[in-house]
Amino acid sequence: MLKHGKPMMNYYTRVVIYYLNMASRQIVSLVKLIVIYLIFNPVLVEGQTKLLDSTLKIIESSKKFDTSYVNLRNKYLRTKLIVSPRDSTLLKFAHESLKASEKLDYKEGKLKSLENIALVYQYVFSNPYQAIEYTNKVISIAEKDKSLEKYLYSSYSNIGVIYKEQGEYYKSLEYYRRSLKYVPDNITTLVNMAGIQGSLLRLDSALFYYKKAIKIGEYTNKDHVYLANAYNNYSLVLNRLFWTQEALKVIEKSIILVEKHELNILKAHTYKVAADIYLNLEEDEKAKKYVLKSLKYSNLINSRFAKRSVYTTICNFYKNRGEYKKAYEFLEKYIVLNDSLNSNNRKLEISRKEIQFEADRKQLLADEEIKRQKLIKNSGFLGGGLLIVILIAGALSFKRKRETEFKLQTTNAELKALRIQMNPHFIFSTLNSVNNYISKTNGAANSYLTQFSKLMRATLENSENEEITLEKDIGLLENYLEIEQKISQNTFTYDICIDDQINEENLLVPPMLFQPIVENSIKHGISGLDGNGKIIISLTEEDNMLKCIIDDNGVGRKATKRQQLNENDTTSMSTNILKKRLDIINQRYKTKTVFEIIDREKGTRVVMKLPIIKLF
Amino acid sequence: MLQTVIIDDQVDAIEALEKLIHNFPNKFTIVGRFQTVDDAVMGITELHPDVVFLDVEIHNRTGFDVLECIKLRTFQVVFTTAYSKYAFKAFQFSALHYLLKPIGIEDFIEVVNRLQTEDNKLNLNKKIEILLHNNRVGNRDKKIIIDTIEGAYIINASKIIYCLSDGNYTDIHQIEHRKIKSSKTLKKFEGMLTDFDFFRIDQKALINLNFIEKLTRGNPTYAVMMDNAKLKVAINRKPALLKKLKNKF
Repeated sequence: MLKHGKPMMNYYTRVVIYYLNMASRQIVSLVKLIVIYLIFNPVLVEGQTKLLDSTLKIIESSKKFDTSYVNLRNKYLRTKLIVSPRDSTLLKFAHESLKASEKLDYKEGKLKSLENIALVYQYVFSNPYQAIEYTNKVISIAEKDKSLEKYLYSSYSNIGVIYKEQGEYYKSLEYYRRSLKYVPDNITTLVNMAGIQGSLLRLDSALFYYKKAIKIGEYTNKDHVYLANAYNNYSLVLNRLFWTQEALKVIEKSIILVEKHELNILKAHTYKVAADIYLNLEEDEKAKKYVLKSLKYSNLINSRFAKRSVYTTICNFYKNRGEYKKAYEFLEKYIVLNDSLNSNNRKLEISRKEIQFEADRKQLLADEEIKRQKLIKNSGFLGGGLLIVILIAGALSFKRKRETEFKLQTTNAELKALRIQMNPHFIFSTLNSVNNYISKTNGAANSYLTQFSKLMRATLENSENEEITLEKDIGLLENYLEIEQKISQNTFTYDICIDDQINEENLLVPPMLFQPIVENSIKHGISGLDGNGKIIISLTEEDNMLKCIIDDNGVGRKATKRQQLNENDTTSMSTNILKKRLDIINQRYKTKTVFEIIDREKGTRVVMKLPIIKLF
Repeated sequence: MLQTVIIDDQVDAIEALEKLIHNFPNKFTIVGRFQTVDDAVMGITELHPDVVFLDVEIHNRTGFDVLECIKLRTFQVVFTTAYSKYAFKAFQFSALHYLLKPIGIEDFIEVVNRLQTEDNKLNLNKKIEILLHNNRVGNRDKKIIIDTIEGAYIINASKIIYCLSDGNYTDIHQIEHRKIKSSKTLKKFEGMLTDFDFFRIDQKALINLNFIEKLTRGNPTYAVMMDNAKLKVAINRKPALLKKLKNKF
């Protein structure tokens, strides 16, 4: 045995693990597929063929053209569609029913015929846009007549189904919601909505709708197929979220239900979910039992979707046992089946897309617009990591800009332009996302970013003012100092002493005037020390001036100068900007500000004097 | 245990809040997370939560839409917003809680502590109603909740003539009503009311510009208000006051 860690993984192991990761991502699409194949599974309609043949004979030999004749035609078509979904003659048949009901002026028959035409377009011709057009005709008739309101429900949910199959999930949800207005608490609709939420990866919402569907299903105690289906998918999602015990409880209910009512069509899926759960619980024997059952029933109903999903479970099962060769065998089966299913789907998708393009260019344009909007929104999240760098750079240049603007006198317009360029809502929600992302690994980064956001927010808000109260400015300065402390890992402390005589709330100062001085102290004085740095900022009133002294115990200017060969570095630049800002204050208030740098034995002192400007 | 629902259109934001909430495992249980207005409405109606963390911007709609759609509002709301100057002014008006994103742990703890001492459910609904009312009406009809020692008053902001500072308290003088004493500082009122024709003329006084009868000549200048109160205008504030009045009338 090898002492350290796992034995070397062989080829099979690596392939199996890679594909299992891929497969687990597809689990959500399973949620969707199980709902669709319920509609077409032939097991449900077995034995109806004979009945249909005899019905057709009655229709063809009928001499009376009354409402019951129309009803029979419509009923026949509905069932026929399920049995032979490729029969293109059904379109003509449905149009004839429509004509007959128009002659009779039979409104309900007309609605049903229109509905059938829509269904034929959708399922026989794979033309969803014609289907929607005919369904809309149903809606416009039904809306005018209160007694036909029930058709609004079915029409809205039909459009919901169509959009869902087109992958237009948001539109689909919208129509399902409308249909709920007429028949609230419909289990079918709720299960479908849950499936869409799952496809949209909104697992919470999916859970919510499944839960609701289950509640209704348990209460009404009919629609066993849909109830069991809701149990299965609810349990599947729970298990995926690792709420394994909860998932187990739910699937146990489903097993009881499918076995009691002999819902063979669902058994494969139910047992598969149960097996998955037991695998998570590491109960190998039980998992094995359900895997075998699931395999049996997926062969029985001959559903490739069910087979595909059970193969991943079997593969997982062998992987857990360390039997990688066996796992690989089933993985291969899975891949072959998956490819064939996907290529079928793709063909269907392509033909639909072609129809879509020809049928409705306008629709396409509108879609493009929506996509574009989404892209604008999404692009923010893609560049999350990069963005934080840009933001910090942006914040710094923003600050410098704020300073130079005094000299350039191009104040407001430019600032506003800058604010528009960086939409604050965008900035802060991105920071929120980035914060969440990094806090997964690093708690300190979280509080750093929160504080940085506060500084950004305050800077943005104060940038509108030429002067702010000393209280606010000191608040900003403290915020800045705390961030610097975090970056330098607490290698310095600071003190801000404000003389009692000063009323901070009533004293105005230009915003962020002390900040570049403090920044210099940190960057060039204290960073040269190995910890124990100290910055003391004291504010007093002297000769009707505000006197601000900023002391540090850093290495001093001489030491720093030696390192600086380039005169045009940021330090001298920010000092120049500061001097210019003071010149402007001198002119405006006809006063003489002071700015002095004093080299001390240990550290540097900066003295600044500003005129006293009171708010009141 | 407070049954808690989180509503935000971004998964990241929901996760961030969850993390903060998990610091208080004995206080909150998260019972639902929703990402659209419709799901949120349905979810809240179904789950009857005690606390709802509600994002202000939800896709193209707002957290206000969620509240509009819910008839029975017996939960506490904590709004979360990335940036919205106007939104948080609105929350102050109705004395509702809000958190700015990214949410810092200190701010979160503060809100949690305030949730603890929260008032009865009737009051909660009232606050939300005021928020929604203010959201619908123009500037002239904005309502504001004023907490006093005797209880909370709801008054129309445009009926305030002036506010006078009294230490940490503020006296609110309004038309046709006796004055009330709020337990908020004048500065808080200044922050809330500045966009609604209010102006701080002095350390002690915040006045409604619509109720100035006249400004006296000479130094110092006094503002005579419609109830004949004579309020001093600080020298430094006079130019700004005149400018504001000129722009207004």
